[in-house]
Amino acid sequence: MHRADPRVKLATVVTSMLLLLVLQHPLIFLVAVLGLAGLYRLAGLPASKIWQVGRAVLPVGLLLAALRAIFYPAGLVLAALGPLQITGGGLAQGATLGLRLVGMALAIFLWLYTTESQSIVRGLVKLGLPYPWGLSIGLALRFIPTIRENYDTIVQAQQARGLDLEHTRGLGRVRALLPGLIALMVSSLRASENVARALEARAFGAPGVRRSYLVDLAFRPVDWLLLLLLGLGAGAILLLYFRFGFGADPLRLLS
Amino acid sequence: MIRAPRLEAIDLWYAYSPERPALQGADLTVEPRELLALVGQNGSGKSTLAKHLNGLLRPARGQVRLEGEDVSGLSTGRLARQVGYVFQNPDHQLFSPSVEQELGLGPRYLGLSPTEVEDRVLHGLHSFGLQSIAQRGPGTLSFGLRRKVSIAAVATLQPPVWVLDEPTTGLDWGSAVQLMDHFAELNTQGHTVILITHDMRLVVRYASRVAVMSEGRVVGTGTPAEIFGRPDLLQSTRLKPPPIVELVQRLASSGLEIEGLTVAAACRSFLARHRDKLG
Repeated sequence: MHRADPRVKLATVVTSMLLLLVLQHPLIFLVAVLGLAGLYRLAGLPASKIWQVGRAVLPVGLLLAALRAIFYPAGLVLAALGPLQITGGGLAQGATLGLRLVGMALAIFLWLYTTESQSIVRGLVKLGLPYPWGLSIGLALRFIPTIRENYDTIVQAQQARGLDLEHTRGLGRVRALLPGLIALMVSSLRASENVARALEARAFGAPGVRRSYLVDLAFRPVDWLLLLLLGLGAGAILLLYFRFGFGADPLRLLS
Repeated sequence: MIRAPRLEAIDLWYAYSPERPALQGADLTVEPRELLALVGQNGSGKSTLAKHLNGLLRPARGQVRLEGEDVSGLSTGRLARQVGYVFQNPDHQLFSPSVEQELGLGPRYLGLSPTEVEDRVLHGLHSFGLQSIAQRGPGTLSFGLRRKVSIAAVATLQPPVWVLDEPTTGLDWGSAVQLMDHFAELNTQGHTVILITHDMRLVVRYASRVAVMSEGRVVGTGTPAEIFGRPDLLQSTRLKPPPIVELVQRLASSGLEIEGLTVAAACRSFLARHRDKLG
């Protein structure tokens, strides 16, 4: 997993996203989420990483699932409270939506966790993206954990000044955390300015020079094999979808 | 005179993640009115231990006691009145559009009356010489001034205990001494000061006691002279005493007995004992 060419991994992520957007059945998504979790373990990533991703998207996923289940009634009514109805179809659609979000997040983070930022940049540049753009994307990804750590420290600094977060809920909590976002923005802008200067100081963007690589990317036979398997797998699923309606309906596996 | 509370950390265990244990049974007692230096290599657990003292982090196991009372039931907001924490990076603790508002943020969080907030802000601006930049945005100031504002902002909480997390990083020696002189003055007024630092010159100059951390535990405590007189501890924790301490120790091993942890103290000791050798 870690050794695969970043372009193959990117193709896997894009294909997974495509399938997660096209298909509609919650059972398929459940299998996909479990499969992705299995890939995390196969890649040697600790279970805590899966939990980290899950924890980040689960609240939104559950909210979307609940809203969908309540406001898009379809099929058998399972429970009713006044005008609100929980239906089998609504629940299935809600579960589809929630699992789709979790699946997409797992796919993207699997790529990020198993690919060094330099490899991401090289992969994107090999696919035709101008180097400065590729580098910008790589740097942005590289700084996500740093920004997260900085934000945690900033919230701690607010608490150390007397902000009582433990007894602040809902909108009050959001309002209380707003000053922290200002501090985060200022420190992030300062950091980005420093990074830009450091890059320039190391000859980034020097005129008339074509960038060289110490280790360049090259497709190995195993990468071609992985790409072939990916194509065949995705092709088979899409064929089943278009030909037999596999996974096209949230309530039935085959239409 | 300020009456600072006694702080105790008892068998603290904490991990940022299963792969990243930070505290592994740390014990520390901070007596009222002492200036304690918390030293150790990067990653030894200094900041993590200090963040437990005002509830920013809660231990997985163990207890923090304030005047003998377990603080687990107290919120960080409540503890902030007792233990002020100055973070390493001033940019992580400046939230307001002006210096004046920045100094008022903590007192407002504490729910103080507008008059008291104003009093504390004015006092903070005056004590730290910030009146001329009161209306400026903290983000537009130099590093040294941002550091000063971040400390003044904690000062408006009027905490009897201060935790200073590497407060002199990025400051020249003169500014570092000026800053630490301020805290030494607070210390003489009765405040407790916990100084986290890698600068051993500051330790010998200001600390009344030193706690050495290694791999999530406090492995040694004592006066600076006691700590720097323990070569085994220094070696195992890779602490390097200031050059003058090393010089004094080497001279002593060559038979020239002098004492002192600072240049001034070593000179005084030399003159007192060996004036005749000057000829």
